[in-house]
Amino acid sequence: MKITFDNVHHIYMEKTPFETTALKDITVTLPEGTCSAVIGRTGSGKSTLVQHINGLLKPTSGKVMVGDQIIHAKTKRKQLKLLRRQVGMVFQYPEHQLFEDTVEKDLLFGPKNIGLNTTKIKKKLPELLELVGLEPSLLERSPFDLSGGQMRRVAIASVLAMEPNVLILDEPTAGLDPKGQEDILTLLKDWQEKYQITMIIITHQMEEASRLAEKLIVMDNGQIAMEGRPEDIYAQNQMLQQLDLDVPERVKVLKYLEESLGIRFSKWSLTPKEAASELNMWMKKEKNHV
Amino acid sequence: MFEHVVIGQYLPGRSYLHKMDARSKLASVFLLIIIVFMTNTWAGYGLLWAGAVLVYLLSGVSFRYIRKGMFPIFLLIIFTFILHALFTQEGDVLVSVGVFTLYEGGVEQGLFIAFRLLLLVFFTSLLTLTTSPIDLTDALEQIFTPLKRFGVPAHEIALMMSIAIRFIPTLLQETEKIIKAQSARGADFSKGTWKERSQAFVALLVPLFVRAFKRAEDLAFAMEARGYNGGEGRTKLRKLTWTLRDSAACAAVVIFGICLFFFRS
Ligand SMILES: Nc1ncnc2c1ncn2[C@@H]1O[C@H](COP(=O)(O)OP(=O)(O)OP(=O)(O)O)[C@@H](O)[C@H]1O
Ligand SMILES: [Mg+2]
Repeated sequence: MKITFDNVHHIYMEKTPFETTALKDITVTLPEGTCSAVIGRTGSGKSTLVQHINGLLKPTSGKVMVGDQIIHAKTKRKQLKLLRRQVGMVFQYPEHQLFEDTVEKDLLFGPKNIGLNTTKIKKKLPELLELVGLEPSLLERSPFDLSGGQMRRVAIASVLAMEPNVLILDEPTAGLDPKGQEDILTLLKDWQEKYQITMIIITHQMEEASRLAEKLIVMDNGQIAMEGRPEDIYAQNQMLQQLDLDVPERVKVLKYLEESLGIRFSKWSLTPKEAASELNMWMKKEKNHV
Repeated sequence: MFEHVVIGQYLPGRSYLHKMDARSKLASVFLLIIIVFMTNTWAGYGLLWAGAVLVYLLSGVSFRYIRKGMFPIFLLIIFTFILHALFTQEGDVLVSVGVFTLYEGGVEQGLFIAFRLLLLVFFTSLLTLTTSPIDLTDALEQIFTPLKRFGVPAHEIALMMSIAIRFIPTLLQETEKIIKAQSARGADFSKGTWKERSQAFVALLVPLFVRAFKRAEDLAFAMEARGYNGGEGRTKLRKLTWTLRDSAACAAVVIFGICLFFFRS
Protein backbone atom coordinates (compact mmCIF):
# COMPACT_ATOMS: atom_id res chain seq x y z
CA MET A 1 0.00 0.00 0.00
CA LYS A 2 1.20 3.47 -0.78
CA ILE A 3 1.72 5.70 2.24
CA THR A 4 1.48 9.45 2.01
CA PHE A 5 2.07 12.06 4.69
CA ASP A 6 0.45 15.36 3.87
CA ASN A 7 1.57 18.33 5.92
CA VAL A 8 1.65 16.36 9.16
CA HIS A 9 2.41 18.00 12.48
CA HIS A 10 2.54 16.16 15.77
CA ILE A 11 2.67 17.81 19.17
CA TYR A 12 3.02 15.68 22.31
CA MET A 13 1.16 16.82 25.43
CA GLU A 14 -0.30 19.83 23.73
CA LYS A 15 -1.20 22.78 25.96
CA THR A 16 0.95 21.72 28.91
CA PRO A 17 4.36 22.99 29.99
CA PHE A 18 5.73 19.67 28.65
CA GLU A 19 4.56 20.38 25.11
CA THR A 20 7.00 19.07 22.48
CA THR A 21 6.63 19.46 18.77
CA ALA A 22 7.89 16.13 17.48
CA LEU A 23 6.93 16.50 13.81
CA LYS A 24 6.75 19.66 11.76
CA ASP A 25 5.27 19.94 8.32
CA ILE A 26 6.01 16.42 7.10
CA THR A 27 5.08 15.77 3.49
CA VAL A 28 6.45 12.57 2.02
CA THR A 29 5.42 9.51 0.03
CA LEU A 30 6.56 5.96 0.69
CA PRO A 31 6.14 3.95 -2.49
CA GLU A 32 4.22 0.67 -2.53
CA GLY A 33 6.00 -2.65 -2.43
CA THR A 34 9.42 -1.28 -1.61
CA CYS A 35 11.55 -0.81 1.45
CA SER A 36 12.13 2.69 2.80
CA ALA A 37 14.47 3.55 5.64
CA VAL A 38 13.99 6.38 8.12
CA ILE A 39 17.25 7.54 9.58
CA GLY A 40 18.30 10.37 11.86
CA ARG A 41 19.79 11.08 15.23
CA THR A 42 18.11 10.28 18.49
CA GLY A 43 15.03 12.38 19.24
CA SER A 44 14.60 13.48 15.64
CA GLY A 45 11.07 12.10 15.46
CA LYS A 46 11.53 8.80 13.65
CA SER A 47 9.38 6.71 15.98
CA THR A 48 6.74 9.41 16.11
CA LEU A 49 6.61 9.47 12.33
CA VAL A 50 6.07 5.76 11.81
CA GLN A 51 3.54 5.39 14.63
CA HIS A 52 1.20 7.49 12.49
CA ILE A 53 1.08 4.79 9.85
CA ASN A 54 -1.07 2.40 11.85
CA GLY A 55 -2.90 5.09 13.76
CA LEU A 56 -1.19 4.58 17.11
CA LEU A 57 -0.67 8.31 16.96
CA LYS A 58 -2.91 10.70 15.14
CA PRO A 59 -1.59 13.86 13.51
CA THR A 60 -2.21 17.07 15.44
CA SER A 61 -2.83 18.58 12.02
CA GLY A 62 -2.47 17.35 8.47
CA LYS A 63 -3.29 13.85 7.30
CA VAL A 64 -1.76 10.48 6.60
CA MET A 65 -3.02 8.23 3.83
CA VAL A 66 -2.39 4.49 3.93
CA GLY A 67 -3.75 2.88 0.80
CA ASP A 68 -7.18 4.47 0.59
CA GLN A 69 -7.58 5.04 4.32
CA ILE A 70 -7.12 8.50 5.72
CA ILE A 71 -5.93 9.26 9.25
CA HIS A 72 -6.36 12.76 10.59
CA ALA A 73 -6.86 14.35 14.00
CA LYS A 74 -10.51 13.34 14.23
CA THR A 75 -10.33 9.78 12.90
CA LYS A 76 -12.35 7.40 15.11
CA ARG A 77 -10.82 4.38 16.80
CA LYS A 78 -13.14 2.02 15.00
CA GLN A 79 -11.85 3.06 11.62
CA LEU A 80 -8.34 2.26 12.78
CA LYS A 81 -9.13 -1.40 13.31
CA LEU A 82 -8.94 -2.25 9.65
CA LEU A 83 -5.67 -0.39 9.47
CA ARG A 84 -4.15 -2.42 12.31
CA ARG A 85 -5.00 -5.53 10.36
CA GLN A 86 -2.92 -4.39 7.42
CA VAL A 87 -0.05 -2.59 9.08
CA GLY A 88 2.29 -4.64 11.24
CA MET A 89 4.62 -2.86 13.60
CA VAL A 90 7.70 -4.15 15.37
CA PHE A 91 8.69 -1.78 18.16
CA GLN A 92 12.07 -0.91 19.55
CA TYR A 93 13.02 -3.83 21.82
CA PRO A 94 9.98 -5.88 20.77
CA GLU A 95 10.96 -8.72 23.14
CA HIS A 96 9.46 -6.61 25.94
CA GLN A 97 6.00 -7.33 24.64
CA LEU A 98 6.15 -11.13 24.99
CA PHE A 99 3.77 -12.40 27.64
CA GLU A 100 2.24 -15.81 26.90
CA ASP A 101 3.45 -19.00 28.54
CA THR A 102 4.52 -20.60 25.28
CA VAL A 103 6.10 -19.21 22.15
CA GLU A 104 3.29 -20.69 20.09
CA LYS A 105 0.59 -18.83 22.00
CA ASP A 106 2.50 -15.60 21.71
CA LEU A 107 2.85 -16.02 17.98
CA LEU A 108 -0.90 -16.60 17.69
CA PHE A 109 -1.88 -13.59 19.81
CA GLY A 110 -1.83 -11.10 16.96
CA PRO A 111 -3.50 -13.29 14.31
CA LYS A 112 -6.26 -14.21 16.77
CA ASN A 113 -6.89 -10.58 17.68
CA ILE A 114 -7.37 -9.52 14.09
CA GLY A 115 -9.57 -12.51 13.33
CA LEU A 116 -7.35 -14.61 11.10
CA ASN A 117 -7.88 -18.34 10.81
CA THR A 118 -5.65 -19.59 13.63
CA THR A 119 -5.71 -23.27 12.72
CA LYS A 120 -4.28 -22.43 9.33
CA ILE A 121 -1.65 -20.16 10.81
CA LYS A 122 -0.75 -22.69 13.48
CA LYS A 123 0.32 -25.10 10.76
CA LYS A 124 2.60 -22.49 9.26
CA LEU A 125 4.33 -21.62 12.55
CA PRO A 126 7.22 -24.13 12.37
CA GLU A 127 8.07 -22.79 8.94
CA LEU A 128 7.88 -19.23 10.20
CA LEU A 129 10.19 -20.00 13.12
CA GLU A 130 12.70 -21.56 10.79
CA LEU A 131 12.52 -18.52 8.61
CA VAL A 132 13.55 -16.28 11.52
CA GLY A 133 16.33 -18.72 12.32
CA LEU A 134 14.86 -20.64 15.25
CA GLU A 135 14.24 -24.32 15.92
CA PRO A 136 10.57 -25.28 15.50
CA SER A 137 10.91 -27.19 18.78
CA LEU A 138 10.96 -23.82 20.58
CA LEU A 139 7.21 -23.51 20.00
CA GLU A 140 6.45 -25.28 23.26
CA ARG A 141 8.99 -23.33 25.31
CA SER A 142 8.27 -20.30 27.44
CA PRO A 143 9.37 -17.11 25.71
CA PHE A 144 10.97 -15.97 28.97
CA ASP A 145 13.46 -18.85 28.88
CA LEU A 146 14.94 -17.73 25.58
CA SER A 147 18.08 -15.68 25.05
CA GLY A 148 17.75 -12.00 24.14
CA GLY A 149 18.42 -12.65 20.46
CA GLN A 150 15.95 -15.52 20.34
CA MET A 151 13.29 -13.41 22.03
CA ARG A 152 13.83 -10.70 19.44
CA ARG A 153 13.28 -13.23 16.67
CA VAL A 154 10.12 -14.55 18.28
CA ALA A 155 8.82 -11.01 18.67
CA ILE A 156 9.48 -10.23 15.02
CA ALA A 157 7.88 -13.53 14.00
CA SER A 158 4.81 -12.64 16.08
CA VAL A 159 4.24 -9.64 13.85
CA LEU A 160 5.06 -11.50 10.64
CA ALA A 161 2.46 -14.10 11.64
CA MET A 162 -0.20 -11.44 11.15
CA GLU A 163 0.77 -11.32 7.47
CA PRO A 164 0.77 -7.54 7.19
CA ASN A 165 0.77 -5.69 3.89
CA VAL A 166 2.84 -2.96 5.43
CA LEU A 167 5.61 -3.83 7.86
CA ILE A 168 7.19 -1.21 10.07
CA LEU A 169 10.28 -1.95 12.11
CA ASP A 170 11.63 0.43 14.73
CA GLU A 171 15.35 -0.32 15.07
CA PRO A 172 14.92 -4.07 14.78
CA THR A 173 18.61 -4.80 15.33
CA ALA A 174 19.30 -2.49 18.29
CA GLY A 175 21.35 -4.24 20.95
CA LEU A 176 22.15 -7.39 18.95
CA ASP A 177 25.57 -8.72 18.07
CA PRO A 178 26.83 -8.15 14.49
CA LYS A 179 25.94 -11.68 13.41
CA GLY A 180 22.43 -11.33 14.84
CA GLN A 181 21.99 -7.96 13.15
CA GLU A 182 23.06 -9.39 9.83
CA ASP A 183 20.70 -12.39 10.16
CA ILE A 184 17.72 -10.23 10.99
CA LEU A 185 18.33 -7.83 8.13
CA THR A 186 18.68 -10.71 5.69
CA LEU A 187 15.47 -12.38 6.80
CA LEU A 188 13.58 -9.10 6.60
CA LYS A 189 14.88 -8.39 3.13
CA ASP A 190 13.94 -11.90 1.99
CA TRP A 191 10.46 -11.57 3.47
CA GLN A 192 9.93 -8.23 1.81
CA GLU A 193 11.01 -9.53 -1.56
CA LYS A 194 9.00 -12.72 -1.26
CA TYR A 195 5.69 -11.06 -0.37
CA GLN A 196 6.33 -7.73 -2.09
CA ILE A 197 5.10 -5.84 0.97
CA THR A 198 5.75 -2.22 1.77
CA MET A 199 8.44 -2.09 4.44
CA ILE A 200 9.64 0.81 6.54
CA ILE A 201 12.65 0.40 8.74
CA ILE A 202 13.99 2.86 11.30
CA THR A 203 17.67 2.81 11.97
CA HIS A 204 20.57 4.79 13.34
CA GLN A 205 23.03 3.22 10.98
CA MET A 206 23.52 4.22 7.36
CA GLU A 207 25.11 0.83 6.89
CA GLU A 208 21.84 -0.87 7.68
CA ALA A 209 19.72 1.53 5.67
CA SER A 210 21.93 1.04 2.65
CA ARG A 211 21.46 -2.72 2.81
CA LEU A 212 17.70 -2.69 2.59
CA ALA A 213 16.21 0.51 1.40
CA GLU A 214 15.35 1.79 -2.00
CA LYS A 215 14.36 5.09 -0.48
CA LEU A 216 15.97 6.99 2.37
CA ILE A 217 14.29 9.57 4.56
CA VAL A 218 16.65 11.52 6.76
CA MET A 219 14.98 13.21 9.72
CA ASP A 220 16.33 16.06 11.75
CA ASN A 221 14.61 17.88 14.55
CA GLY A 222 11.10 16.81 13.55
CA GLN A 223 11.54 17.66 9.89
CA ILE A 224 12.64 15.81 6.81
CA ALA A 225 16.17 16.93 6.07
CA MET A 226 16.72 14.81 2.98
CA GLU A 227 14.83 12.18 1.04
CA GLY A 228 15.45 10.21 -2.06
CA ARG A 229 17.39 7.30 -3.49
CA PRO A 230 20.38 6.20 -1.42
CA GLU A 231 22.78 7.06 -4.28
CA ASP A 232 21.57 10.65 -4.37
CA ILE A 233 21.82 10.97 -0.62
CA TYR A 234 25.33 9.57 -0.44
CA ALA A 235 26.38 12.23 -2.90
CA GLN A 236 25.50 14.98 -0.42
CA ASN A 237 28.44 14.30 1.80
CA GLN A 238 28.56 17.64 3.56
CA MET A 239 24.91 17.66 4.49
CA LEU A 240 25.22 14.13 5.88
CA GLN A 241 28.12 15.14 8.08
CA GLN A 242 26.10 18.03 9.49
CA LEU A 243 23.49 15.49 10.53
CA ASP A 244 26.06 13.23 12.23
CA LEU A 245 25.56 10.62 9.53
CA ASP A 246 28.16 8.99 7.43
CA VAL A 247 28.23 7.32 4.05
CA PRO A 248 28.47 3.58 4.78
CA GLU A 249 31.96 2.12 4.63
CA ARG A 250 30.80 -0.40 2.08
CA VAL A 251 29.59 2.34 -0.26
CA LYS A 252 32.81 4.28 0.24
CA VAL A 253 34.78 1.27 -0.92
CA LEU A 254 32.55 0.73 -3.96
CA LYS A 255 32.80 4.41 -4.83
CA TYR A 256 36.54 4.32 -4.54
CA LEU A 257 36.75 1.28 -6.83
CA GLU A 258 34.50 2.96 -9.39
CA GLU A 259 36.64 6.05 -9.40
CA SER A 260 39.98 4.34 -9.53
CA LEU A 261 39.18 1.40 -11.83
CA GLY A 262 36.34 2.70 -13.92
CA ILE A 263 34.08 -0.26 -13.09
CA ARG A 264 30.29 0.32 -12.70
CA PHE A 265 28.55 -1.63 -9.94
CA SER A 266 24.91 -2.61 -10.42
CA LYS A 267 23.77 -0.99 -7.15
CA TRP A 268 25.12 0.49 -3.93
CA SER A 269 23.43 -2.03 -1.69
CA LEU A 270 25.68 -4.93 -2.72
CA THR A 271 26.89 -7.23 0.00
CA PRO A 272 30.67 -7.70 0.06
CA LYS A 273 30.22 -11.11 -1.56
CA GLU A 274 28.09 -9.77 -4.38
CA ALA A 275 30.50 -6.91 -4.90
CA ALA A 276 33.42 -9.31 -5.06
CA SER A 277 31.70 -11.41 -7.70
CA GLU A 278 30.85 -8.37 -9.79
CA LEU A 279 34.43 -7.26 -9.49
CA ASN A 280 35.57 -10.71 -10.56
CA MET A 281 33.34 -10.70 -13.62
CA TRP A 282 34.55 -7.24 -14.55
CA MET A 283 38.16 -8.27 -14.23
CA LYS A 284 37.58 -11.28 -16.45
CA LYS A 285 35.90 -9.07 -19.04
CA GLU A 286 38.77 -6.57 -18.91
CA LYS A 287 41.25 -9.37 -19.43
CA ASN A 288 39.41 -10.54 -22.54
CA HIS A 289 39.45 -7.02 -23.90
CA VAL A 290 43.18 -6.84 -23.49
CA MET B 1 -2.06 8.62 26.66
CA PHE B 2 -1.08 9.44 30.23
CA GLU B 3 -1.15 13.11 29.64
CA HIS B 4 -3.86 13.52 32.23
CA VAL B 5 -2.27 11.91 35.24
CA VAL B 6 -1.61 14.77 37.60
CA ILE B 7 -1.56 13.31 41.10
CA GLY B 8 1.93 13.76 42.43
CA GLN B 9 3.06 15.51 39.29
CA TYR B 10 5.61 18.25 39.70
CA LEU B 11 5.41 21.35 37.53
CA PRO B 12 8.72 23.17 37.43
CA GLY B 13 8.41 26.92 37.98
CA ARG B 14 9.81 29.98 39.70
CA SER B 15 6.96 31.13 41.92
CA TYR B 16 7.07 31.97 45.62
CA LEU B 17 5.89 28.48 46.48
CA HIS B 18 8.43 26.87 44.16
CA LYS B 19 11.24 28.77 45.82
CA MET B 20 10.20 27.76 49.34
CA ASP B 21 12.11 25.05 51.21
CA ALA B 22 10.35 21.68 50.99
CA ARG B 23 10.46 21.37 54.80
CA SER B 24 8.60 24.61 55.35
CA LYS B 25 6.05 23.62 52.73
CA LEU B 26 5.51 20.26 54.41
CA ALA B 27 5.16 21.93 57.80
CA SER B 28 2.75 24.53 56.42
CA VAL B 29 0.59 21.93 54.72
CA PHE B 30 0.54 19.90 57.92
CA LEU B 31 -0.60 22.95 59.90
CA LEU B 32 -3.15 23.83 57.24
CA ILE B 33 -4.61 20.35 57.45
CA ILE B 34 -5.04 20.74 61.21
CA ILE B 35 -6.64 24.12 60.64
CA VAL B 36 -9.01 22.67 58.05
CA PHE B 37 -10.16 20.01 60.50
CA MET B 38 -10.49 22.53 63.33
CA THR B 39 -12.77 24.86 61.42
CA ASN B 40 -16.51 24.43 61.93
CA THR B 41 -18.24 27.67 61.00
CA TRP B 42 -19.24 29.31 57.73
CA ALA B 43 -17.07 32.32 58.47
CA GLY B 44 -14.13 30.03 59.15
CA TYR B 45 -14.53 28.25 55.84
CA GLY B 46 -14.93 31.59 54.09
CA LEU B 47 -11.56 32.66 55.46
CA LEU B 48 -10.00 29.32 54.57
CA TRP B 49 -11.15 29.63 50.96
CA ALA B 50 -9.72 33.15 50.86
CA GLY B 51 -6.45 31.70 52.16
CA ALA B 52 -6.58 28.97 49.55
CA VAL B 53 -7.00 31.52 46.77
CA LEU B 54 -4.04 33.48 48.10
CA VAL B 55 -1.83 30.35 48.19
CA TYR B 56 -3.02 29.48 44.69
CA LEU B 57 -2.01 32.93 43.45
CA LEU B 58 1.43 32.49 45.05
CA SER B 59 1.92 29.15 43.31
CA GLY B 60 1.75 30.37 39.72
CA VAL B 61 0.20 27.03 38.73
CA SER B 62 -2.47 27.18 36.05
CA PHE B 63 -5.90 26.30 37.37
CA ARG B 64 -6.31 23.53 34.80
CA TYR B 65 -3.79 21.39 36.68
CA ILE B 66 -5.53 21.77 39.99
CA ARG B 67 -8.84 20.95 38.39
CA LYS B 68 -7.34 17.86 36.79
CA GLY B 69 -5.80 16.78 40.09
CA MET B 70 -9.09 17.27 41.90
CA PHE B 71 -11.22 15.48 39.36
CA PRO B 72 -10.65 11.88 40.54
CA ILE B 73 -11.84 12.68 44.06
CA PHE B 74 -14.73 14.82 42.93
CA LEU B 75 -17.11 11.88 42.83
CA LEU B 76 -16.04 10.88 46.33
CA ILE B 77 -16.76 14.38 47.58
CA ILE B 78 -20.20 14.48 46.01
CA PHE B 79 -20.95 11.05 47.42
CA THR B 80 -19.97 11.99 50.99
CA PHE B 81 -21.95 15.22 50.67
CA ILE B 82 -25.08 13.32 49.70
CA LEU B 83 -24.62 10.77 52.49
CA HIS B 84 -24.20 13.44 55.13
CA ALA B 85 -26.99 15.59 53.81
CA LEU B 86 -29.44 12.68 53.81
CA PHE B 87 -28.60 11.00 57.07
CA THR B 88 -27.94 13.86 59.47
CA GLN B 89 -31.17 14.89 61.12
CA GLU B 90 -30.53 18.19 62.86
CA GLY B 91 -32.05 21.65 62.69
CA ASP B 92 -35.04 22.75 60.62
CA VAL B 93 -36.52 20.72 57.81
CA LEU B 94 -35.59 22.26 54.45
CA VAL B 95 -37.47 20.04 51.99
CA SER B 96 -39.11 16.70 52.16
CA VAL B 97 -39.52 14.46 49.10
CA GLY B 98 -41.10 11.05 49.67
CA VAL B 99 -39.09 9.14 52.25
CA PHE B 100 -36.21 11.63 52.08
CA THR B 101 -36.14 14.62 54.34
CA LEU B 102 -33.43 17.23 54.05
CA TYR B 103 -32.48 18.97 57.29
CA GLU B 104 -30.60 22.22 57.57
CA GLY B 105 -27.99 20.60 59.82
CA GLY B 106 -27.46 17.81 57.30
CA VAL B 107 -26.79 20.16 54.42
CA GLU B 108 -24.42 22.15 56.59
CA GLN B 109 -22.61 19.01 57.72
CA GLY B 110 -22.36 17.73 54.16
CA LEU B 111 -21.00 21.01 52.88
CA PHE B 112 -18.44 21.21 55.66
CA ILE B 113 -17.18 17.72 54.96
CA ALA B 114 -17.04 18.45 51.24
CA PHE B 115 -15.12 21.67 51.93
CA ARG B 116 -12.69 19.80 54.12
CA LEU B 117 -11.95 17.20 51.50
CA LEU B 118 -11.66 19.80 48.76
CA LEU B 119 -9.31 21.96 50.79
CA LEU B 120 -7.19 18.96 51.79
CA VAL B 121 -6.74 17.85 48.20
CA PHE B 122 -6.21 21.43 47.12
CA PHE B 123 -3.36 22.11 49.56
CA THR B 124 -1.65 18.77 49.06
CA SER B 125 -1.92 19.08 45.25
CA LEU B 126 -0.28 22.48 45.46
CA LEU B 127 2.47 20.95 47.57
CA THR B 128 3.27 18.23 45.06
CA LEU B 129 2.77 20.50 42.06
CA THR B 130 5.37 22.97 43.33
CA THR B 131 7.89 20.66 45.03
CA SER B 132 10.16 18.30 43.17
CA PRO B 133 9.79 14.74 44.47
CA ILE B 134 13.48 14.64 45.37
CA ASP B 135 13.18 17.70 47.61
CA LEU B 136 10.06 16.25 49.14
CA THR B 137 11.70 12.98 50.13
CA ASP B 138 14.79 14.80 51.40
CA ALA B 139 12.54 16.91 53.58
CA LEU B 140 10.67 13.84 54.83
CA GLU B 141 13.93 12.11 55.61
CA GLN B 142 15.09 15.06 57.68
CA ILE B 143 11.82 15.30 59.51
CA PHE B 144 11.90 11.59 60.35
CA THR B 145 15.59 11.46 61.28
CA PRO B 146 14.99 12.17 65.00
CA LEU B 147 12.79 9.05 65.08
CA LYS B 148 15.78 6.87 64.16
CA ARG B 149 16.45 6.46 67.85
CA PHE B 150 13.19 4.57 68.13
CA GLY B 151 14.13 2.25 65.29
CA VAL B 152 12.35 4.08 62.45
CA PRO B 153 14.50 3.49 59.34
CA ALA B 154 14.21 7.09 58.11
CA HIS B 155 16.84 6.84 55.41
CA GLU B 156 15.53 3.59 54.00
CA ILE B 157 11.96 4.86 53.93
CA ALA B 158 13.09 8.00 52.12
CA LEU B 159 15.14 5.94 49.69
CA MET B 160 12.21 3.65 48.96
CA MET B 161 9.99 6.64 48.37
CA SER B 162 12.42 8.38 46.08
CA ILE B 163 13.01 5.22 44.06
CA ALA B 164 9.27 4.65 43.78
CA ILE B 165 8.72 8.24 42.71
CA ARG B 166 11.64 8.12 40.32
CA PHE B 167 10.17 5.09 38.55
CA ILE B 168 6.59 6.29 38.21
CA PRO B 169 7.29 8.10 34.92
CA THR B 170 9.33 5.14 33.71
CA LEU B 171 6.49 2.77 34.48
CA LEU B 172 4.00 5.04 32.77
CA GLN B 173 6.21 5.24 29.70
CA GLU B 174 6.63 1.51 29.72
CA THR B 175 2.88 1.03 30.06
CA GLU B 176 2.27 3.34 27.16
CA LYS B 177 4.84 1.53 25.05
CA ILE B 178 3.43 -1.92 25.78
CA ILE B 179 -0.13 -0.72 25.18
CA LYS B 180 1.03 0.55 21.81
CA ALA B 181 2.90 -2.64 21.01
CA GLN B 182 -0.04 -4.87 21.91
CA SER B 183 -2.51 -2.59 20.12
CA ALA B 184 -0.34 -2.98 17.05
CA ARG B 185 -0.85 -6.73 17.50
CA GLY B 186 -4.60 -6.13 17.45
CA ALA B 187 -5.29 -6.08 21.21
CA ASP B 188 -8.16 -3.81 22.12
CA PHE B 189 -8.09 -2.22 25.57
CA SER B 190 -11.27 -0.22 25.40
CA LYS B 191 -13.77 -2.15 23.33
CA GLY B 192 -14.89 -5.73 23.12
CA THR B 193 -16.30 -8.26 25.55
CA TRP B 194 -15.02 -8.67 29.09
CA LYS B 195 -13.11 -11.73 28.01
CA GLU B 196 -11.35 -9.93 25.19
CA ARG B 197 -10.55 -7.00 27.37
CA SER B 198 -9.17 -9.05 30.22
CA GLN B 199 -6.98 -10.88 27.72
CA ALA B 200 -5.68 -7.54 26.52
CA PHE B 201 -4.88 -6.57 30.11
CA VAL B 202 -2.98 -9.79 30.71
CA ALA B 203 -0.96 -8.91 27.62
CA LEU B 204 -0.20 -5.56 29.28
CA LEU B 205 0.38 -6.62 32.87
CA VAL B 206 2.65 -9.62 32.35
CA PRO B 207 5.31 -7.74 30.38
CA LEU B 208 4.98 -4.77 32.72
CA PHE B 209 5.67 -6.88 35.81
CA VAL B 210 8.44 -8.83 34.14
CA ARG B 211 10.15 -5.57 33.25
CA ALA B 212 9.58 -4.02 36.66
CA PHE B 213 11.15 -6.99 38.48
CA LYS B 214 14.01 -7.05 36.03
CA ARG B 215 14.57 -3.38 36.58
CA ALA B 216 14.43 -3.68 40.36
CA GLU B 217 17.01 -6.45 40.21
CA ASP B 218 19.29 -4.43 37.95
CA LEU B 219 19.01 -1.42 40.22
CA ALA B 220 19.82 -3.47 43.30
CA PHE B 221 22.88 -4.96 41.62
CA ALA B 222 24.01 -1.58 40.36
CA MET B 223 23.70 -0.03 43.82
CA GLU B 224 25.53 -2.89 45.46
CA ALA B 225 28.26 -2.83 42.84
CA ARG B 226 28.83 0.81 43.63
CA GLY B 227 29.16 0.08 47.31
CA TYR B 228 25.84 1.33 48.62
CA ASN B 229 25.33 0.17 52.18
CA GLY B 230 22.61 2.23 53.79
CA GLY B 231 22.32 5.73 55.15
CA GLU B 232 25.17 5.63 57.67
CA GLY B 233 27.62 8.44 56.98
CA ARG B 234 26.13 9.45 53.63
CA THR B 235 26.31 13.08 52.60
CA LYS B 236 23.87 14.89 50.36
CA LEU B 237 24.52 16.35 46.94
CA ARG B 238 21.63 18.78 47.25
CA LYS B 239 21.11 20.79 50.41
CA LEU B 240 17.76 22.19 51.46
CA THR B 241 18.09 25.83 52.51
CA TRP B 242 15.72 27.56 54.89
CA THR B 243 15.36 31.26 54.13
CA LEU B 244 13.43 34.24 55.39
CA ARG B 245 10.76 33.35 52.87
CA ASP B 246 10.14 30.07 54.69
CA SER B 247 10.02 31.58 58.15
CA ALA B 248 7.59 34.20 56.86
CA ALA B 249 5.34 31.57 55.28
CA CYS B 250 5.27 29.37 58.38
CA ALA B 251 4.61 32.38 60.61
CA ALA B 252 1.77 33.44 58.34
CA VAL B 253 0.20 30.00 58.54
CA VAL B 254 0.49 29.95 62.33
CA ILE B 255 -1.08 33.40 62.64
CA PHE B 256 -3.80 32.34 60.20
CA GLY B 257 -4.48 29.32 62.38
CA ILE B 258 -4.72 31.39 65.55
CA CYS B 259 -7.12 33.83 63.87
CA LEU B 260 -9.28 30.96 62.66
CA PHE B 261 -9.33 29.50 66.14
CA PHE B 262 -11.47 32.44 67.25
CA PHE B 263 -13.99 31.68 64.52
CA ARG B 264 -14.74 28.28 66.02
CA SER B 265 -18.15 27.87 67.53
N1 LIG C 1 5.19 9.82 24.57
C1 LIG C 1 5.84 10.99 24.46
N2 LIG C 1 5.45 12.03 25.20
C2 LIG C 1 6.08 13.22 25.09
N3 LIG C 1 7.09 13.49 24.26
C3 LIG C 1 7.53 12.49 23.49
C4 LIG C 1 6.92 11.18 23.55
N4 LIG C 1 7.57 10.38 22.67
C5 LIG C 1 8.53 11.15 22.10
N5 LIG C 1 8.51 12.41 22.58
C6 LIG C 1 9.39 13.51 22.15
O1 LIG C 1 9.26 13.68 20.75
C7 LIG C 1 10.53 13.85 20.13
C8 LIG C 1 10.73 12.78 19.07
O2 LIG C 1 10.78 11.51 19.68
P1 LIG C 1 10.90 10.15 18.89
O3 LIG C 1 10.73 9.05 19.86
O4 LIG C 1 9.99 10.18 17.72
O5 LIG C 1 12.42 10.20 18.40
P2 LIG C 1 13.28 9.08 17.66
O6 LIG C 1 13.81 9.72 16.44
O7 LIG C 1 12.48 7.84 17.51
O8 LIG C 1 14.47 8.83 18.70
P3 LIG C 1 15.27 7.47 19.03
O9 LIG C 1 16.24 7.28 17.93
O10 LIG C 1 15.95 7.80 20.32
O11 LIG C 1 14.28 6.37 19.16
C9 LIG C 1 11.54 13.80 21.25
O12 LIG C 1 11.89 15.14 21.56
C10 LIG C 1 10.84 13.16 22.40
O13 LIG C 1 11.28 13.72 23.62
MG1 LIG D 1 12.62 5.86 18.39
